[in-house]
Amino acid sequence: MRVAASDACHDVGVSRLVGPISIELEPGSLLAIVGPNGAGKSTLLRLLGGDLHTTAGTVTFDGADASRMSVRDLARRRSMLGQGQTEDVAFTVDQVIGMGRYAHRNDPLIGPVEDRASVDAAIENLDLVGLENRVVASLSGGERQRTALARVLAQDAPLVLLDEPTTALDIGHQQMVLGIMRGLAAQGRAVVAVLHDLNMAAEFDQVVLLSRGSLSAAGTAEVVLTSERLSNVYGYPIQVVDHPLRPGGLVVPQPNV
Amino acid sequence: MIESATVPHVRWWIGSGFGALLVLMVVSLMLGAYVISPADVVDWATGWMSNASNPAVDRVLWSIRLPRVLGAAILGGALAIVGAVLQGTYRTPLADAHLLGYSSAAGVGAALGFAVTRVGAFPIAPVLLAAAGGALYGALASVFRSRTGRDRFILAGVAFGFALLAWTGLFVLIVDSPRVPTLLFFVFGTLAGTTWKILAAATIVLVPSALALWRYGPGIDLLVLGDREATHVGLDATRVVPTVVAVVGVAVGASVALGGVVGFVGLIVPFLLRPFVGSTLRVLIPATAVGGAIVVVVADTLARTVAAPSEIPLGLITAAVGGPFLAWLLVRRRAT
Repeated sequence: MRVAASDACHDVGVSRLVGPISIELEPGSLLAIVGPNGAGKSTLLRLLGGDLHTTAGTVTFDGADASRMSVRDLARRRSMLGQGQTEDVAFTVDQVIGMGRYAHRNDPLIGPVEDRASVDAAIENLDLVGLENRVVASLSGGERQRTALARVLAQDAPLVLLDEPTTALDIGHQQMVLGIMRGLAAQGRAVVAVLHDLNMAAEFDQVVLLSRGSLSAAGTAEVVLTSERLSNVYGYPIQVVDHPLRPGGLVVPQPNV
Repeated sequence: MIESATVPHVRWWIGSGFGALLVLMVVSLMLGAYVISPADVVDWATGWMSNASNPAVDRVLWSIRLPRVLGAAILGGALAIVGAVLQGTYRTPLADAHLLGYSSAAGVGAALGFAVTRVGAFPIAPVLLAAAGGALYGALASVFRSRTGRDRFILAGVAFGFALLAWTGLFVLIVDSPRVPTLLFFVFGTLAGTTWKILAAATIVLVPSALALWRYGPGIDLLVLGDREATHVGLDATRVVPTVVAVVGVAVGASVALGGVVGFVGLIVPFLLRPFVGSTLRVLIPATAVGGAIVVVVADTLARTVAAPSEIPLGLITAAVGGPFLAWLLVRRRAT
């Protein structure tokens, strides 16, 4: 599925939260959205998912206007990890992941046969084997985050939108999630993640840097993540130095003494 | 409550619960101001609900006890289902039709309905007006649901409940009609006067409402993720939530017309059953229906035997037990 935002804007009253922004996502894209707090990263993500309607410009999925699609049609085209809290959820891991299949049910009474396979694959992918029957409320923060991600995976949509998917995770599980995002892109899905960690963003194929609701730069990590631009946008001296192992640089803030 | 029950266990629980309910209902038929022996009940049942040798037994069982015991089972099932659904919709085990003011809103409609129903007429007006009151209240509540914090929302429901109860009281006292039940009925309900007619009128509304809620179950389950996340997985929350709470209001209305305002059943039964059957409404709804029926059949049997030949209001018994339970639930949740 091709996703295109063209001059997409989101206004609340007279204030423009985001836009105008134009982005095209081909199948297989792996895009990071970065920027300071309040730059409009989550708003842009929700615009791309048709979750918020554009107030000017358009977001289209294969040419069809996302803001005119039903909730169910949207759910079959894009899955989305928000920042919703799940610490008091009394459902089991397996049940929550199964909720990702809701839009694929023909009738709410009976789900299609491949449901079980999608749920099991997501459990396997996110290292949740053995936790299936645990109640989500009883899990650690990282386990809950992985459960939420597994639910997004089980939804099996061509566009995957993730708002801070690695925030609650340890460094090992962060890399595991990065691997999963790469794997999804390799399957031909478009993956977009809002990230705070610029070094995580440096591992993405494409990076979009937002500043005050508009596009500051877009392109590969080497092009977007430069010392001068990051220092400007974040308002703090930041250096991008050579990374010993990968082409994208290593982002380090100036020591705060 | 770490491991969830598996499906075969759930079937066993619900099946054996239903068996227990039937036994309790038969026992309940025997008890009351007029005690009937098991042999007489068996004679009556095997004689196709008539006991030729003892017309008094026949009259008590057919005209008084049987509609009352069936009414208790249906009322209990309805209250528990409604509680389970509201708790899913509002994402808190503290949601309940009584606590959130739905019952009082239905009470206003029921009182109006009783006032306009002629003696002996089929009592559809109290059921429909109570259902309308409950549905209207649900629709209004759904507007505030997403805007107000959870604790404030519950307190607002309690406040509305008191106001609506006061209006019902004013209406009942001013109209002062023998057709309208006493104010006690709208505070602590009772099944003392249950007739076949009111049972039929309430049932024809309750059964479709319960089926509708069961059908919406998987959608309501998704709300636990948050409205936005539920929408992401394909639930049109802005459309489904008002529909569900309106159906809840209809069911509450029919239950209030049947047995008055009975609190705490919808709070206690789902809470006790979740550890055994899990939170999925497709399973929780049938399980709580059976559990609620058991609780109210037992409570109503106590209501007519503890102080026989006097009646104790049914809601008094459920509140006497349920009140402390709610307090414990609140304290326990704060602690964890």
